[in-house]
Amino acid sequence: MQKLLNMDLLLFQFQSLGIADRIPPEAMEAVVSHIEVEEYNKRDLIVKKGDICTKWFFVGEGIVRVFFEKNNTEITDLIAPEGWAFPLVECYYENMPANANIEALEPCKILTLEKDTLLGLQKKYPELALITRSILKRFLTYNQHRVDSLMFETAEEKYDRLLANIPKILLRVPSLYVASFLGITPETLSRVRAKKTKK
Amino acid sequence: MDKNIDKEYLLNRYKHFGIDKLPQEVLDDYFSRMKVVKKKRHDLLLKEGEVCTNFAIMRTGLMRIFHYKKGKDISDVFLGDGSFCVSIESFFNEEPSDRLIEILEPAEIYLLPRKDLIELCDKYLEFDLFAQSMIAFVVGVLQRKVELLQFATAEERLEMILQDVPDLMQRVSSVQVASYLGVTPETLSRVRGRMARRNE
Repeated sequence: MQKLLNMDLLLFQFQSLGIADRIPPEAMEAVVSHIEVEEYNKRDLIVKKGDICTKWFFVGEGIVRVFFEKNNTEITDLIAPEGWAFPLVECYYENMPANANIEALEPCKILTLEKDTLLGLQKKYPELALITRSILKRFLTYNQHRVDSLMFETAEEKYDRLLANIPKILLRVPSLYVASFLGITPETLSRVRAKKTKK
Repeated sequence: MDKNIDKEYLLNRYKHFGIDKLPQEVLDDYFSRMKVVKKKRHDLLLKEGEVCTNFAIMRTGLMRIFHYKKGKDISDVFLGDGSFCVSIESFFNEEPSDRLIEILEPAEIYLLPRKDLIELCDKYLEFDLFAQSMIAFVVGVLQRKVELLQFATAEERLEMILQDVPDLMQRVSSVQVASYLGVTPETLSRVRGRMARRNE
């Protein structure tokens, strides 16, 4: 029963990556039997700075944020709702301890897949290379857009772009984190919201 | 087979991504698919609207990726000896590029066609991991830039790019550097003045 639920969660991930129809069922089965499903409460830390975690994170349910501290201020780097997948790049590819934290902002189900496990599975099912490739590709494009947005967009445009990605984000994520993510002050965010409500 | 590719240099420069752990057979296959090209100052390695079909490694030289935003020339990044570059969205999605790649100083470049990169990844699991590490490095570069844009001052941003290419200010125009930092040339000149005074 649990396995069936996990299969649903995984299928949802592959659908959001656009690769569901290119992974054969037996490869899916193999991944499901190796994937860990971790459950977290709101405000739990999924990863703490300094942890070693060479794995992929798939947000099955809920929403998480990646943040770090700089000059005693928390900076929100990534806000990832269900359907998002990511590694902590410095851990996964450079074997370094995490330089950021991952926090659950809602009750969450996180699927994780160890690097070595995936590599082992890839030997038997080469199609699984698509998982890594599609996530990296999406992550790259996402970061490129984020740079462009931060450089050239007004606070209002940045907020609109975020809403397009994560509708109703402020019902799920404290506005302080959203402001930090957008690189604007909480006051600016609240002005932008007030202006939108009036429209 | 030998097309004057400086293999020793690549093995050393990309050790960080695990190139030195690739079996000889894989390395031979990899190097044999590379093409060496020489480019002059102001040449465009990639034009606007062209599809980026090569993964480029610059052995020597200087180049920049840039784009036009409402007609204004905006530098995305400056790349020195040993850097690699692609126009991200164009390369991965096989679509026309909004980014251009310009040679700023005479350059020797090793090109690996996209199709060969994918074939190598499909053929050797070790190579796939190596390529992933390189791509992940670009993700890291973009993330650092995001962090800087979120909160850093123009001065902190300039210090960061000078870590990558220390003599950048002597090598490219200050207008290009200003557009990279997202500031006006006047602000850049104030920032440089402050830095110079501090370093005295």
